[in-house]
Amino acid sequence: MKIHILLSKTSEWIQGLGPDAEIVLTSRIRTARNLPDYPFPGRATVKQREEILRIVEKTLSGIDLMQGSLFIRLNEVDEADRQFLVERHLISREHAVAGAGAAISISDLEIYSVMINEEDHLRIQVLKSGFQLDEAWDLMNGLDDRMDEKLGYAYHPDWGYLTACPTNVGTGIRASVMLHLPALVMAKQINQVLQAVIKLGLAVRGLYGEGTEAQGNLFQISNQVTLGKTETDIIDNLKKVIRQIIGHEKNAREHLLKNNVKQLEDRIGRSYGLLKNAHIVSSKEAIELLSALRLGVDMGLIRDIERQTINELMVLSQPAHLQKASGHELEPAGRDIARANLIRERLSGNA
Amino acid sequence: MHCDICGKNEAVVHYAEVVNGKMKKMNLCEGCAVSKGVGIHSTFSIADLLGGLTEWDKAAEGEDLGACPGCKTTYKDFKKKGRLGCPACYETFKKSLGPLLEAIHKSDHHVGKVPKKLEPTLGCVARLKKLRDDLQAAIAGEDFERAAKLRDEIKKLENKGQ
Repeated sequence: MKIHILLSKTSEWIQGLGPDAEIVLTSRIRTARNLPDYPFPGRATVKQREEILRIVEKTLSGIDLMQGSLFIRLNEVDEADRQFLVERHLISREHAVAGAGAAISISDLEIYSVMINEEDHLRIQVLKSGFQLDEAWDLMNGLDDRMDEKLGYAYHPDWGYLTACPTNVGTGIRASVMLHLPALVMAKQINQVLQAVIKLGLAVRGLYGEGTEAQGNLFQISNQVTLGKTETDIIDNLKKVIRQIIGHEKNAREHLLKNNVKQLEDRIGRSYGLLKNAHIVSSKEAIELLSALRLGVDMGLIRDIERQTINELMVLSQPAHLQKASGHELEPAGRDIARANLIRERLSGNA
Repeated sequence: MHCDICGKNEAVVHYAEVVNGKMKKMNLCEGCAVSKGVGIHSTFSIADLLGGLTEWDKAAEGEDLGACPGCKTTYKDFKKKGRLGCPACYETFKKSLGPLLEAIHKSDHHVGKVPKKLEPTLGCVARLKKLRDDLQAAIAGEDFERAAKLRDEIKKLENKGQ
């Protein structure tokens, strides 16, 4: 199967490079675009959605930046494969169940991807490692121009790019960064920081555990407003806020090193020990332990593990990835064992 | 704990999202979480999003605007689903969408990217001219609130052009 190719390939972001990569996992720009003469996917007939798919597929095949990309019609793959793409942040959960005409085109290294017939005809994504929003926007702008030249997007002089949901109209842009903020969580400053972010009109998202802590201390921060500001203003505004948060997280890490180094070393060392020796690990436990290990690597307290290994484990230890790698369906209990095996092997360098 | 949506299954996804400064917490079962599209990329529907906005009621006046000629979507459909039917819906429901966009984005004017093909007619120079005309009209009509906004936008564009 085509999707299997992705399992053995590395996405650009997984390399864990780029500015501030010890705190910023990814920078992402997504734009919503539509063809002028078709209803939005939610209103279009099956036939229209298939037509849209054909038009876009043909357009993409003629674009230099998308040469050699993987094109997947979502109704031609099974649910496990769609889940695999969701876990890889290449399609949304909504897209996974979108039905007729839904497809995804994925470039080499997964830097560019184009969702077809999601909520809008096109959702274009650029994903970069580390804090690289400007670079991501430049790449996006280039691909967007090339596609617009052939497709002639739906555009209104007053409202900009027209989208199915009015919350996206105008620039149609969503810029976001994924941050790893363990020290701010430990210092119990995270809520204060996030409240301030929200007051500035930005959105904070994460899959929350039982308490208020996001799983794995990972937080996604993005713009909300898409109309009345230029793309550059939207990105600059987000960058300013993110730079401040990076500063706060760095301070909190330094404070831990100065005042609580033994507790910190103990927590990281225990997490490392568990990951290297456990035989049953749930996904929630894995993400928490990997977060602690990552902090150890990023602060130079653990030197025999690469950041890339941790990023890989974060991706590969998810349910659909484990099943894909094993070649068959796994019950939750079986997944917890497969997950522990994978982590042990990778961390002892036998993978 | 039971799922907040179906009330039957055990809630396994504990989700919180902050929209416009308000925290929404939900406890969902796996099935409802998937159908609600809860995940790292997702947002709640616009109907949820606008639940607290009084402008939504003002925008309800759009119900007498009739169906969109492009896709037969009515304003009622839009209110229910939170999604427009096609690009032409924006013109059809212009009267009601204006205040709604203002409520969501604090603006009803695009100032960002212009498609290359439209650059000669909609680029900076053309847009500045239109905004200045609008400004004169706003002043003449003594709509000073709008005039102030237009002035801000003109300033923004002028800075961009430098």
